[in-house]
Amino acid sequence: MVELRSVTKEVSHFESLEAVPAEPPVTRGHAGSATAEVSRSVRHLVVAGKSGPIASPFETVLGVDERVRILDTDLAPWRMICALRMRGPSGAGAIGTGWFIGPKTLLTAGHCVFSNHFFGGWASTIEVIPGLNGNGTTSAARPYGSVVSERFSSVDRWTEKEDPDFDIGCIHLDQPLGEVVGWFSVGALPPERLESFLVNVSGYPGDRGAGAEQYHGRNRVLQVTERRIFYEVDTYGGQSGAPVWIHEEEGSPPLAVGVHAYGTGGTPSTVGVSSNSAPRIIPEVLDTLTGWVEQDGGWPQG
Amino acid sequence: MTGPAGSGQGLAELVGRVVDGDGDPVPDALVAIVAGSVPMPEIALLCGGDGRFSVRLPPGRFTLRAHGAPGTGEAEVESPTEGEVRIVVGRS
Repeated sequence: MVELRSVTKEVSHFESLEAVPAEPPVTRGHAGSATAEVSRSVRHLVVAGKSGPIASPFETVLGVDERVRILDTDLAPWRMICALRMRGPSGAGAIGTGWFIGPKTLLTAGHCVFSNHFFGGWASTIEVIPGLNGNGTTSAARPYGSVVSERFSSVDRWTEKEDPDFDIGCIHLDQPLGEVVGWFSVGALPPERLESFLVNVSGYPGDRGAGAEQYHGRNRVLQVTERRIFYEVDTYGGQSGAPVWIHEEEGSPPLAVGVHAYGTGGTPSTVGVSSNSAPRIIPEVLDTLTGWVEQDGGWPQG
Repeated sequence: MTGPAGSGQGLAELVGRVVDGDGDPVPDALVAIVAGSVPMPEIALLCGGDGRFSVRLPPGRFTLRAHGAPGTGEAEVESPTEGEVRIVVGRS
């Protein structure tokens, strides 16, 4: 077992902490205090469990890109998923996806907060836009507004080696926006439980809607390795950092099991499948992200 | 295991610009690295108002695909490269 060390971007007014996590196999999710209306998209698009074929949401249309735009992004769980607008020290910009795991804490890919390729190190600022639904700054496009953060964390195996197995990062907020939009439950499921599960991936791709529209894809887990989960879901640049989640059964709450990070080009040849992939939530990662949430004040009691 | 060039060593800056069929800059275009010699994360670069973007790449061959108001375009680049890479979008 590799011990992961939490690495936090140094900010003068912020005290860096080592991860001091509890060890729950699953963190508790929260639907948010905003409307409890049930999303139609969830009923029609989200897949659950392991059994059965995956029916097309549009059964008369064949051979199309399987991603489907989410229109009711003001509802759970879509509003927990955020468009990210990153800026590096040079002003260079990029887009990605992140999602709430606590009242003031988002999980994303490590390369969205730290990247030698894109920022020459740590990002300077990231704008977080929950449930972004089109261009513009109207309340229809930004149902929960947006916030900007300068505080990020990752793990040493990412910031020192940029190893795709450890490509996870965190955005710390000053505002408890997660109390309104909700946050995902996160679980460290063992490989044998994950294999063949139907997974959901939803984020903000750059090839559709200029990174301002949320798209959902789904399929079955193809393979699980010690630190990665492999699946064949249509994704594109901009969806890095998106949640990979399951529903253990029909009607059960979403349980995030990975952080989408790589397309087919990121799959090691040793895996033997052509697919996209996510660093898996394993116990060490769960401990680390628990520490990040506690760093931001923790989850509410009760 | 195979992975991106870690710790930033050996990376060379590539500067590019997204333009339309007339050679005019396409503001706020998005550029993704859709193929390459090494795994690249699924991030998309956000161009400025002048259509410019920059990224640091390891040695190798990469395919960049740009998306802007006029449409989509691609460019193959060999890193390291000198000069500005231009990606024309919206060309039929």
